[in-house]
Amino acid sequence: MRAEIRDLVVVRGAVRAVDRVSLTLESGSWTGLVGANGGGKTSLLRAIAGRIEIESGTIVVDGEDRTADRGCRARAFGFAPDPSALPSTLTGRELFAILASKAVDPIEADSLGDLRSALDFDSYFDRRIGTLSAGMRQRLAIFCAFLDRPPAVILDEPFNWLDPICAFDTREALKGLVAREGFALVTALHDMATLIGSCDRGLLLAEGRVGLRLDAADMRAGAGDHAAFEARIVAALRSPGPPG
Amino acid sequence: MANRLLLYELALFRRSFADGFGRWRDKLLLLIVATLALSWLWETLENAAGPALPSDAAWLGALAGPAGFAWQRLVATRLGWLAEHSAVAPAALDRRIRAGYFAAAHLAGALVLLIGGASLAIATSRVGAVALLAASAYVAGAALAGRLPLRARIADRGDQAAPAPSSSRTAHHGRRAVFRAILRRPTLSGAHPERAAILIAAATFTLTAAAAWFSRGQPDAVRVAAITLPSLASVLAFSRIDAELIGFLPYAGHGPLFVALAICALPAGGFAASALAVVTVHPPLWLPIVGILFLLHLAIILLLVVRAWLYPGRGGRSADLQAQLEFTALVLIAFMLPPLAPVALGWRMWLLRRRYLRAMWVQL
Repeated sequence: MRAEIRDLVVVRGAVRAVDRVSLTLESGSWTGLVGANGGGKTSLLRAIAGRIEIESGTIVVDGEDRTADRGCRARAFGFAPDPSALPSTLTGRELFAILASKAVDPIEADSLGDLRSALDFDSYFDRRIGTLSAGMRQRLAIFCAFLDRPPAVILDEPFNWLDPICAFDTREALKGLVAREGFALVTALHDMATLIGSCDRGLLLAEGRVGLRLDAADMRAGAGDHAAFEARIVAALRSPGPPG
Repeated sequence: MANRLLLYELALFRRSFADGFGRWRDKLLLLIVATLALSWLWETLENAAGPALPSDAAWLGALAGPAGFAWQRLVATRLGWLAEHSAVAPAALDRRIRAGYFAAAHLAGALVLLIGGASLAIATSRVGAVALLAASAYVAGAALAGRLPLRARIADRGDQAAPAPSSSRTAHHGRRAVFRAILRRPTLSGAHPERAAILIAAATFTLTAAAAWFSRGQPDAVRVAAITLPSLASVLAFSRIDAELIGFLPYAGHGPLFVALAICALPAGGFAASALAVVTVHPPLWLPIVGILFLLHLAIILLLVVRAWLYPGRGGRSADLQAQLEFTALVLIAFMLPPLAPVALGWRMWLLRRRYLRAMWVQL
């Protein structure tokens, strides 16, 4: 799977939330998206996944222009819904039974077994979602994105509300899925450790524009000198450069 | 492939119904109300004074058109939300599944219309004409709504300050912050909800006074309709509630009385503005008109309080559905057994208040 996003512009209300952003997503890679609150990360991810309209720009998926086809993008990119938007009156099991296609049994999760173990939602799978804590809902929301085995998965700040054990296990499971199953994974992140330790590349968004692009060499350098890496990211966030 | 959207909506509806009428005494109450309603309808139709097709059909047409329009807008808005935010977004963005969803929704709408049309047709003995007129008006209304763009709703709460905790020292400020937060949804104003509320009340006063003044020479029915119209518009606008916020309030220690008062403030202000306008202009029949305005606002206030007290621990849609069904039942009781209505209302409100109070001590 290869998706090329070129000069994407997303307008939310009167605000240009995403301003001429370009990036490429490929199978077997994990792209980390970093940025300030309100910097356009969620709008960019939702636009790629077909959840919201695009003002201009193009999205090419496997060589086909899918800019106008939101439905196709929604199928191609699994997307974890906002945990607060999960139906509070249904249980996780009921929700997954509706979401999963016939070929997929969410209980016998085969290649997703590691992720399922990491998210560990069995103990409350039959409780109403409305009675679950934010972390429990987040675990269900993450698994929702993988249920139909899409070639690419987008997670918006997946480690929020997760306890340290679950966050660690989930990160490892996601790394495994990218490496073994070839998922193209995109996550919005706020912690540098995950960006450096798990992502193959990074994109820093500031005021809707690309402030910095990070490749594998940058990640290695960041692993060597965490403090310098973090200072570089913060400096780029404080003074966003021209569109790129 | 099964229509996931319909499966999702059906599951939500089934759960909402089970939540609202899960116990045997709820089902018994529903059965009694339905039986009474049917017998009342049957009796009304049997006693109808002969066929009166033109006027009855005109009424049905007048109702079916806006009904089709409103239903189409509601379904499209819901589908828009599902496509952007829900877990079933891929299905909500699939052209065939969307078409199936619209078809099913309009079939349900048409079924309701069919029941109304059939009742009228039995009374007038003109089945074909009534059905044709109602169906045409419904389709025309829905088609018109389908051509109009929906206003995009951006879920951005960044400008909304979180309510302060209600500790002993900050309790007053906390309540004020919560009150402002409650006002934001009905006034559609994130930054200055109080100012927006005052503006709406002033507009209601002005429009009601103008309607009362200019309709003085008109027949009674026209005058009453013209004078109550601005109030109806404002009270419908004020009936929007942030279910998520209200549902959270008992867990933050805010009691049922405070929530009820905060919810009622806007409709009560709207009533004061419109009643003041009527009293000021003093048109013929001003007292009955004030009475009608009072009943209208009282009904909306009761419905708002029922919804607010149902929200804790429940989904907004589920609570709204139950509130609407209970309100319909109360209206039917008020029509058929008027002395029983205040008793039924008081009993139900007491139960709901108890339920709310229990939620204040539960941490989910």
